[in-house]
Amino acid sequence: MPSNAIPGHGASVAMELNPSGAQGTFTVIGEMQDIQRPEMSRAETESTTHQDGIDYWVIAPVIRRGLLSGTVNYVNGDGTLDHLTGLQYALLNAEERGFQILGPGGSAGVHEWIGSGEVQLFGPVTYPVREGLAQAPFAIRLSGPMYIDGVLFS
Amino acid sequence: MSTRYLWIRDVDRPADLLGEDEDGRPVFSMNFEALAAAPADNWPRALVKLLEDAALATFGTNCWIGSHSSVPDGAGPFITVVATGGGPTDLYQNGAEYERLSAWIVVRAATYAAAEDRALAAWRALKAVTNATIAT
Repeated sequence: MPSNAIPGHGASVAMELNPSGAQGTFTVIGEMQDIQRPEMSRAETESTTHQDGIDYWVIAPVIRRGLLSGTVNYVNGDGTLDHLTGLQYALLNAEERGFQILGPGGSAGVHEWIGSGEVQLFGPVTYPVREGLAQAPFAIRLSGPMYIDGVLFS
Repeated sequence: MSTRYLWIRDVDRPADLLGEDEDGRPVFSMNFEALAAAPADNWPRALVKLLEDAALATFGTNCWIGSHSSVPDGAGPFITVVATGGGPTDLYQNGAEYERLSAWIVVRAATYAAAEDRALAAWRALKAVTNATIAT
C-alpha cells in the first residue's frame, strides 16, 4: 500500500538576479502555479537488423533535458520578472543565469536542482476579462553541468 | 485594516425575494463574490465601505453586517450585508494566498420601487470593482 507520496505544493524556482555577483545567491521567482522540472532523456537509435527477431536500440550517452517551465502571476515591476533584473531582462539580453529548483520541503542538497541556463520563453502575458489573473508562462533552457541534490552531472 | 481586492463581482442581479419582511417591506437580495490577497478579514466591512463611498449606506444607521443584526422599523431603505462561505483559498508555490469570498446583500424599503432602486444602485456600485485596496 503506497504511503510515501508527497503533495507538490511548496516548490520554488529561484534565480541569480545578478550573474556577475556572488554565486549561489538565489532569489525566488514571484507567485508560481504549477512548475515543471525538466524531464531527462537520452536519444535512442534503433539498431534492429534484418536478421533480428526482436528490436535492438542504441541509447546515446548524452543526457538531454527538457525545458524548466511554469506559470507565474504577472506583476509588472516585480524584480524577479521585469525587464530590469528579472526573467524578462535575462531573455531580452540573452543572459545566462543560475537557477535553483527546490521541491516541496527542499533545501541545499535536498530535493534540489541547480543549473545554469537562459530564459527561452516569457509570455504571452494573458489579461483575462472579468475574473482571471494576469499570468504568464515561462520556459528556461538549462545548459551545461548541473547538480542534483549536490551531486554534479556534466 | 487594508486589503487588496483583486476583484468583486456580482453573482446575480438584484432579485425580488417574493415576499415581505416582518414589517411588510418588500425585500431584494443579491450575491457577490471576490478574490482578495490574504488576509481578507475586513470582508464584508469592505462592501459596506464601498456602499458608504457611493453614498448608499451608513453603517449602523441604515446598513448592518450579519444575519444576527436587527433591522429597525421604518421606511428605509435598509441594507444588510452577510458574509457567506466563499470558496477554497488559492495557494501559490511561494506561499502567496488569495482568499475567495462571497456575500449576500439584502435590501428592504417601505415601497417596492424604493427597495428596487436602492438594490440596483448598490449592485451597480459593487459589481465591477477591480484591483482595489480597501481600508476599513
